[in-house]
Amino acid sequence: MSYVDDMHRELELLVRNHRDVPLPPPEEPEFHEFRPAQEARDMIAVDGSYSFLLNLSSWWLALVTVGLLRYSFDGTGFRRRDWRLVQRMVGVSTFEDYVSKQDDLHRSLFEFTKGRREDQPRDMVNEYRRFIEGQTAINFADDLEDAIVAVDGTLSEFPKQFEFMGRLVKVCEKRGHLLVGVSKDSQLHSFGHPLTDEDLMARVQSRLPRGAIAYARAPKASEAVKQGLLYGDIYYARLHPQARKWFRVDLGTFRDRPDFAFGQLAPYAKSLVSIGYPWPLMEAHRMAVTVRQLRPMYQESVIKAGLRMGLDVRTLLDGLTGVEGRKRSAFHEYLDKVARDLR
Amino acid sequence: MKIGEIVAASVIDGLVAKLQLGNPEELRIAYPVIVEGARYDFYCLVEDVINEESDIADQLAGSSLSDVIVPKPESHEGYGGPIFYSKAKLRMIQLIDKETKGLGEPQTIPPYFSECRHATREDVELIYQPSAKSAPLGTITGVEPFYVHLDFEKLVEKPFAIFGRTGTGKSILNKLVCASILSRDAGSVLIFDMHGEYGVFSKTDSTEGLKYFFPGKVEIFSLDPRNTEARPFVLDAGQITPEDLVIAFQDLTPPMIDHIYQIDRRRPREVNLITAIREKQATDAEVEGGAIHLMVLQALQRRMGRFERLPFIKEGGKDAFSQMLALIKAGKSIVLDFGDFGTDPMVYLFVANVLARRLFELYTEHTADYPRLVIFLEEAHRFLDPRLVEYSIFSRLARETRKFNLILALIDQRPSRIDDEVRSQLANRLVMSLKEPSDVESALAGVPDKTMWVNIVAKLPLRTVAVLGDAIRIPTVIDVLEYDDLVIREHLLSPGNADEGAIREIAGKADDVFGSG
Repeated sequence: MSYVDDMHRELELLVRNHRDVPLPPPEEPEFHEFRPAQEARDMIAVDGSYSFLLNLSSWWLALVTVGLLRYSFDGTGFRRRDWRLVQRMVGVSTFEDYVSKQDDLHRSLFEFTKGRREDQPRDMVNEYRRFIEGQTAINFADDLEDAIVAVDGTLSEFPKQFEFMGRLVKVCEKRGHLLVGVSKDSQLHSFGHPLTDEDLMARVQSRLPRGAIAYARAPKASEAVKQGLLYGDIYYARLHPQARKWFRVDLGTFRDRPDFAFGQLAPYAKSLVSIGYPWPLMEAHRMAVTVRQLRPMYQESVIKAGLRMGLDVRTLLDGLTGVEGRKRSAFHEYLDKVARDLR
Repeated sequence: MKIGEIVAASVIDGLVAKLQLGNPEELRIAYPVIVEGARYDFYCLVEDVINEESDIADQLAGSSLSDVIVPKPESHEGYGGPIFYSKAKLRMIQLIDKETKGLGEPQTIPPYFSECRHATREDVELIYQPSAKSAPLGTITGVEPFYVHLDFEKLVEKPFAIFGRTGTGKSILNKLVCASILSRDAGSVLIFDMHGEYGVFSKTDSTEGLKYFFPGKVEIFSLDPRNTEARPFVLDAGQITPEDLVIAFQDLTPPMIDHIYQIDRRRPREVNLITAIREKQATDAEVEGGAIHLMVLQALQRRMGRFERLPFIKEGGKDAFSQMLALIKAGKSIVLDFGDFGTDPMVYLFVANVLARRLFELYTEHTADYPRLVIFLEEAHRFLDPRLVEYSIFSRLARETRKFNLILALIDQRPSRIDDEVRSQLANRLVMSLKEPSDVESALAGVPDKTMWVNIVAKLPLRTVAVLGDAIRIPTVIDVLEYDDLVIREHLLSPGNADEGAIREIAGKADDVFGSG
């Protein structure tokens, strides 16, 4: 039996489960059509990214960047009104004795990600990124009123004791902001269907009138699972008739007025560059990932500072990492290079 | 106004600016731009405006989706400016020291992110400083009205050329150049006026000619005996040489040329060359010996018949040349009006060559006796075609006479047909729009940053000229001045130059010439 036979067997299973899967009854998901608002509020979009720079044994150095942009929409275009770029260097370790000497935040990050083995450094930095995103959003949103605060990802938080998401919700409620978390890609199966929620929406969207924009709420049971960690209601929304996909949108405020909330988001989803996805979030993302594009520059400053502190060049160069923290000098990297070069 | 920031730079290859303009159409090739470095301002010219290829743009272009907002600078402001932006290639031309305001060659580059802005009047004033004998030729394109001066004393020190295809405004530019030379007393001019454009009023567009503005400095001669306003031009047939005929008839075969020289060698001195050819009877010995071919001789004689119809060629007549010389010696300029003969290229080529040859001989022998004279040669390629250049006096004029005060100015639409060696002698080039790639190449041969100038010249609008050479501080694209009474008076005629009474008198005659309607 060759790999081709394996492929046929496995692929057949995949295709059957994907294509021939029974669809839920017409009332599920429960679609609600809505209309874009005539006058959209300003949108504050927040997204973050990180890049690992150096790994020395069980210790990693990473740079976290959070971009915040405030936009207005006048019916014809997106006007940038304000911006913030926050950068924080973070050192994380997977060695417990070392972590025990760090501050509360680092210890919490360590505890929360414990057991994830080789993914732990990345997860710690990722959580740290979300923390900085939340802080940045809170600081900015507290100075404004009646805007849309759109953060990247879900409105959930870890570690619990820092409660930045809880504080963000409170600030938004106090200032009259509409708070949403928009996930670029979600693998949730809240409808209990073999298809992911996003795929399910795409499969049944033909039930909607042509050209309609709509949202559907995820079953409340799925929210209950995350009780205490989730700060909002989970929805799936198509924000433009030609949107390339449905997005998971967590609604943190105005939870009793989803028509209003999605009506406010829809005008920002009209850009031809990102149809169906709010343009300000797209730009916040582009702003944040500059940390990855400019990694060589940041690494250069790490090398210079390391040398001044007495580290030898070989150690520093061997410790340089890719964006996700893998050392360039890792043996696996060497094997990959040999495999590439010795064709 | 800031227009962008520097994102790439090289002393050799120039600068690249990321533009912050909402619309790239606001910037054009050859516009002057200032890049503000830390120590220097870099005076640059726009070499190209670019929208780079983009995969995203490729994907989005042509979308038929409705109710979407197409990404344009005015609709999509990204975190770092417009998401789709243009770039400009800039060529560094001069460095301006911010402190001393001293100028220098660009031997370094500005830092990353240096701001670029349109050049202002104050910037260009530092670069183009008038001299004692400079005059404005026009305004710089892309700057608030600023008149760029050419140093006409330098211009007339060495051969120069005005190149441009038909209809681009060469004649107007030439008139301005002539008027500037005269107004600044940089020299005298000799113009072969084929189409009656340079005398009192132009017969083609009724604009004022040189005699109108400089009645005391310009004398008109005419080949046409009916032109009573001008002095009659008479050419003594005895002065004609074989080379004059070769140039005049351009299509002579090598055997014909050999026959001309042979007849010239054997003719009696009292018989002029044209008569000698026309009356040549080949002897049997000449025919049998192969010295004369009857067919060739007959063809030559038919061509010589054309001289019979030229009333200004007279056997032993009172030659106008000595009269012209006396005027030139007195610092006057000459316009030689061809009248109806201006449409006959043979006449033009013949007369121009005869006069230039005689001037050349005189100037080389008696340099000190004569003032600087600029000979303007239209249709220059007809005299300087590599096939004919050895017979033409003009190639020697271009190569040898700068030290003799006799300067050649070429005016032509086909620079590629002008002999390389002659072109290499040009110290200044005033290049207007040229479309034929070989002409653009030839017009700019030997110019620094030639690639950039090739691109610029190929896209020049009408009435715009690229000036390159030592008569201007830096190579510059100029919107040529309007040529009219007011402009010339305002910019070229200082009170001392204008003979107001004479001008009024001449202007009064305009009604007689063109009617008062």
